[in-house]
Amino acid sequence: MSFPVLSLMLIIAFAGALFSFMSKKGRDIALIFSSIDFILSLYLMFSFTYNTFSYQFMEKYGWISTPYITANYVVGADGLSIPLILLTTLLVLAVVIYSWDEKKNPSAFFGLIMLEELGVLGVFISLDFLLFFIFWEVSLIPMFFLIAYWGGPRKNYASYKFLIYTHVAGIIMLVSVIAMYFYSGATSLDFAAIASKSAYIAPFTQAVIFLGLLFGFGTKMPIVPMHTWLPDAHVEAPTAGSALLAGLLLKMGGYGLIRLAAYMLPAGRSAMTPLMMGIGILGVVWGAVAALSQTDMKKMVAYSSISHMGLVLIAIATWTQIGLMGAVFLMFAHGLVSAVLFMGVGSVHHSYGTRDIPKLGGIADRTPMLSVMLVIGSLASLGLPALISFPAEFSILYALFSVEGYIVAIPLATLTIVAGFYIWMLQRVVFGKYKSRYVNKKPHDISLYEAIGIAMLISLIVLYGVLPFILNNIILSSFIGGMV
Amino acid sequence: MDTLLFVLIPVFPIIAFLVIAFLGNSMKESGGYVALVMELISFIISIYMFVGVLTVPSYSVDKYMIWFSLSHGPTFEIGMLIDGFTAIMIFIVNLVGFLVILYSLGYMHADPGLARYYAEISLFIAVMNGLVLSDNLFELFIFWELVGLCSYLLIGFWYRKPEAAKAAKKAFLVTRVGDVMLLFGMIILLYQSHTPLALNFNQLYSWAATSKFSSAELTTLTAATFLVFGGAMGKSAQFPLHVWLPDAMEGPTTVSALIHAATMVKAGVFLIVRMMPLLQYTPATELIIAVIGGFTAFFAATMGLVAPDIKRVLAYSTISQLGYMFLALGAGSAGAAMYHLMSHAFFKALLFLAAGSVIHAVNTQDLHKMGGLFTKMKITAVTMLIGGLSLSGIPPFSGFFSKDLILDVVLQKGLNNPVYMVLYILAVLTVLLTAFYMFRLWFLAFMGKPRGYDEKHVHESPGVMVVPLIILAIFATFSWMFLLLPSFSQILGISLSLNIPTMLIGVSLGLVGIYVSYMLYSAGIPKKFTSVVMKQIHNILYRKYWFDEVYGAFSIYIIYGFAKLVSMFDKYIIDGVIDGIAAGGVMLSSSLYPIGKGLVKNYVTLIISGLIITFILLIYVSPFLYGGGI
Repeated sequence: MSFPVLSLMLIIAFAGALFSFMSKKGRDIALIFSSIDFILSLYLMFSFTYNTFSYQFMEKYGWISTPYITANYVVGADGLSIPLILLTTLLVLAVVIYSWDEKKNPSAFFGLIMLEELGVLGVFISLDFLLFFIFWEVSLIPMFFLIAYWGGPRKNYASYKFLIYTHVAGIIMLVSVIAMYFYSGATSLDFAAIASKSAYIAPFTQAVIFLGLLFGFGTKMPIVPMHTWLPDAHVEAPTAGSALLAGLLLKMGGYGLIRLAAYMLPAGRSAMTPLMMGIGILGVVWGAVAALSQTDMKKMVAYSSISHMGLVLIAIATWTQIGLMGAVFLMFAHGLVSAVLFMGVGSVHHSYGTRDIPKLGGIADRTPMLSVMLVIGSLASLGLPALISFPAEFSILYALFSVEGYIVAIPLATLTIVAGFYIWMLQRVVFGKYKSRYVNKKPHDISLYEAIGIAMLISLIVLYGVLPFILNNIILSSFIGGMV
Repeated sequence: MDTLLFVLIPVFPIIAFLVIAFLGNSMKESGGYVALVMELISFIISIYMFVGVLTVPSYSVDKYMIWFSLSHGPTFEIGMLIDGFTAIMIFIVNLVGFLVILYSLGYMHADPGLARYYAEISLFIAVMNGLVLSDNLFELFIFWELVGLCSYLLIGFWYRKPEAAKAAKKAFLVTRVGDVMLLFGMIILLYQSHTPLALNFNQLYSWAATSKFSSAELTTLTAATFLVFGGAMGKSAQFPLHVWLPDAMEGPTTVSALIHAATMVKAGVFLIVRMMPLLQYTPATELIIAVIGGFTAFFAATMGLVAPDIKRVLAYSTISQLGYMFLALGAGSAGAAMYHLMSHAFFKALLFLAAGSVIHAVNTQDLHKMGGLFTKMKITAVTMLIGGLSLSGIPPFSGFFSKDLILDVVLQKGLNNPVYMVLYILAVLTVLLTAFYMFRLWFLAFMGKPRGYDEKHVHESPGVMVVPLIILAIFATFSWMFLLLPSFSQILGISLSLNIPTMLIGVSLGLVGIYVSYMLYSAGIPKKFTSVVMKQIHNILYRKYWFDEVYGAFSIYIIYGFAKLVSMFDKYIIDGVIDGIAAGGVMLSSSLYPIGKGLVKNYVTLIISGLIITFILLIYVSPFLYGGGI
C-alpha cells in the first residue's frame, strides 16, 4: 500500500482542531495545519492517475465484523471527490486567513473550523457507510456552535433550525441506507459491496429508498421546499460559518445524492427523475425569484445558492456524462463563488455596520478594493463566461436540453433574473452616490487578511473559468467515464 | 501570410489591460500611452491582415486547438477563423479603437479614474477582437459576454452619478435577455448539428449544406436561428430590446463612439453575418430579421427627431442604421450589411467624437443650450458636417453608396415579396427622417446664436482630438473607393451598382430632409407647435413611446411583485408550518409537564390506570390479533 495520504489529511485536520482548542494561538495552528492539508490535496490532484475509472489512494482496514454487520475503515478518492477535497482544503485555508482578526474566543473559533474540515473531508473520502455517517454527523456540530456562539441576533432560532433540519435529514438518510443494505443483501457497509448488489433490488423498493435518500441529501443541498433553514442559518452565521456552510456543507448533499442514491439505485433514479427535474427547476426559479426581493445582502446570496443547487439537482437528474460533469463542476464553482460573496458581504458588514441594501450606496467611493471583489463575485455567480460558473452552467443546460428538450427555457430565462438581482444589488450598493456615511462615518477598506483570503479564491475563479479543462479532465477521466 | 501572427491582435490590448490594471494608479496619464502603443501594434497587424486578405480574396483559414472534449459529447475548441469578413471587421475595430484612444488622451485628460478607463477600454478592444476572430459560436459567445461586461463597466464609468449606474444596469440586463436567447439557440444548434468540433462555423456551414432537413428538423433549425438572432437583437439594440442604448450615453463620449462604431452593437451584426450560411435554410428567420430591422430603422429614427440631447440623437441614429444592416441581412445580403457596417463605423465614430469635441467645449449635451459654434470650432463643425452628409446618404460620401446598396438589395427582393416591398418603402422614408434629425442636430449646434453657454471658454479642441476627426472624415468620405478594388467587392459579393431611379429617390429624400431642417432650425429653436395633433405626436416621440415606463412597470409590479410573494410564501407558509409544528410540540410537552411534578398521588394514579389499560388490552384485544388469550 502506498503512502496513506487521505488518512493523513484526516489526522492533520483532527490534530489542528485539537491543538487549536488547547493553544492560546489557535489561529497560527489552524493556519499551519490547514496549509498542510491544502498542500496534500494539491498532491492528490497532481499525482492523480487519469482514465482509470476507479478509486485511488485507497486504504482499507478491518473495523467492525459481526454476523449481521460488517463495517471497515475504507477511504479513497476518484474524479467525483478530488475536486470536492480540493475545494474543502482550499476554502478552509481561505477562511482561516480571512478570519485572522477574529476577536471573540479565537482559539475555539479556529478549532471549530478545523473540526469542520475534519467532518467534511471525512464525508468526501469515506467509502464505507458507517464511516460516512459518522463524519456526516461530525460536520454538523462545529457549524451549530459557530452559528450559536458567534452568530447574529437571532442565532438561537437559526442554529437550532439548522441542527434539527439537517439532523432529521440525516436520520432519514440513515434509515434509507440501512434499508438499502438489508434489501440488497450486501455483506458489508462498504460502498462497493452495497453498489454491487443494490441495483438488483426490486424497482418499487428502490424508488421508495431513493425517495428517502433524496429527502435526506436534498434537505442538505437544499432543495425546495426544505430550503428555509438555509437563509436563516446564513443570515445569523458569522462570515466564516457562512462561507463554509455554502461552500462545503451544501456540497455534501449533492455528493451523497450522486454517490449513494443515483449511482446505487438506477431503477429508483429513473423512477424519480421527473420528480428531481421538477424540484430542480422549481428550485432554480424559486431561489432566484426569492433572492430578487431580499434587502439583506447575505440573504440574497443564500437564496442564490438555492437556485444554483437546483441546477445541480437537474444535472444529477439528467444522468448524462456532460450533465454530471456539470454537476460536479458547478458544486466546485459554487463553493468558491459563494465563499467570495459571503466574505465580501461580511466585509461590507464589517466596514459599514450593515448589510441592508437600502442603507448602503456608492461604497466604491470609500472601499474600492472590496467593491472590485464584490463585482467579480457577483459576475461569477451570474455565470459570466471566462469565470468559473459558466462552463458548469452551460454543460448542465445542454444536458437538460438533450434529455428533456425545450423545458430548458425555464432555467435559461431564470438566468436573466439571477443577473437581475446581482446587477441591481451592485447598482444600489457599490455604485451611485455615496450614502453609506449615514451608517458608518469612517469606513475602512478591506483588511489585508480579508483581501488575501478573497483574492486566493478569485484567482481560482478566473483560472478555472479560462481553463476549465484542468478540472473537467479530472472529473471526466475517472468517475463519470466509468459510471455512465 | 503568417496566420499565427494574428493571435497577437487581441493579445497586445490584453497586455495593456493587465499592465494598467495592476500598475495604473502609479502611472496616471502615462497609462494612456501604454494603451495607445499596444493598440497601435494591434492596428498595424490588422492592416497587415487586411491587405493580405485583399490580395487573396478567397482566403479562409481556421486554426484551432482543442479546449476540452467529452467522450459521449461534443469537443470544444478555441481558435480563429480568418477570412474576408474577419479582416474587414478587424480593420474597422482597430482603426476606430486606435483613434478613440488617441482622442481620449485629450478628452479624458485629468479625469480621476484614468487608470480604470484605459484598462477597461483596452480590455474592451481586446475582447471585441477576440469575438471577431472566433471560429466557433461557443468561443464567440464567451467574448460576446465579455464585450457586454466591458460596456457595462464603461457605461457606468462615472459610477458616482446615479444615472450612470442605472444606465449600466439597464444595458447589462436588457442585453442579458438577448444573451440568454443566444445561449438557448447555441444549445439547440449544438444538439442538432453534432459536428465533430462543437459549433465550428465552417463545420456548421458544411453540415447545413450537406444535410437534407425534414420539416421537423427545419422547424428546430428555425427556432435556433431565431434565438441566435435574439442575441443580436439585444446586443445591437433592435426593437423591442432597443431601450438600453440611448441611456448608455451616460458613459464618456469616447466610450459611446467605441460602442456605436466598432465594438458592442456591431457584434450583433457580425454574429448574423457569420450565421448567414445557415440562415438561407430558414427563410422564416430571415423574414423576421428583415421585418425587425426595417421597422427598427424607421421607429428609432422617429424618436431621434425630437431628442434634446446631442448624444441621444446619435444613439437613435445608430439604432436606426443598425436596423438597415439587419434589413440587408434579412434580405439575404451579408455583403451589403457588412459594407454599411464599415461606412457606418467611420461616420458614426466621427459624429460621436465631433459631438464629444462640442461637449468638451460647451460643457453641456443639451442642443437647446448650444448654437453658433461654427465660427468658434471650424474643424469640428466641418468634419461633423461631413459625417452628417455621409449619414444622410448624400453623394459622394460613403454613406450614400452603402445605404443605396441596401435599398437596392431590399427592392430586388421586394419585387417578388410584398413584405419586402413594404420594408423598402419604410427604409426610403427613413432616409428622409435621417437627414432631418441629423441636420436638426447640426444646425442647432453650429448655426444660429449662442444660447447660454460660457462663450469665452469655447475654443477648438486640442490636436489629439482634432486629428482623429480629420482621419475619420477622410474615411467617411472616401471609403466607397474600397469598392473599386475588385478583391474587396469579391469578398463582400457586391459591386458599385448604379441603379439610377432608386438612387435619385434616396438622394432627393435626403435633400428634402436637410432642407426642412434648414427651414426650421438654422435660425435657432423654432416656436412650439400649436396644433394639438403635432403636440401629441411630439409628446409620444419625446416620451419614447413609453417603453421605459412599460418595462419599468413590468419589472417592478410583475417580477418584483412575484418575488415578494415568493419570499412571503417562504416566510409565512413554509416556515409557518415548520414553526407551527415546533410550537405544537412545545405546547404538548408543557401541557403534560404538570403530571411529572413529583406528586406521589399522580404517579400512583398513572401506574394503576396503566395497569388497567394493559389488562383490558390483553384480555379483550389480543384474542383478535393472535387468536388466543392469556
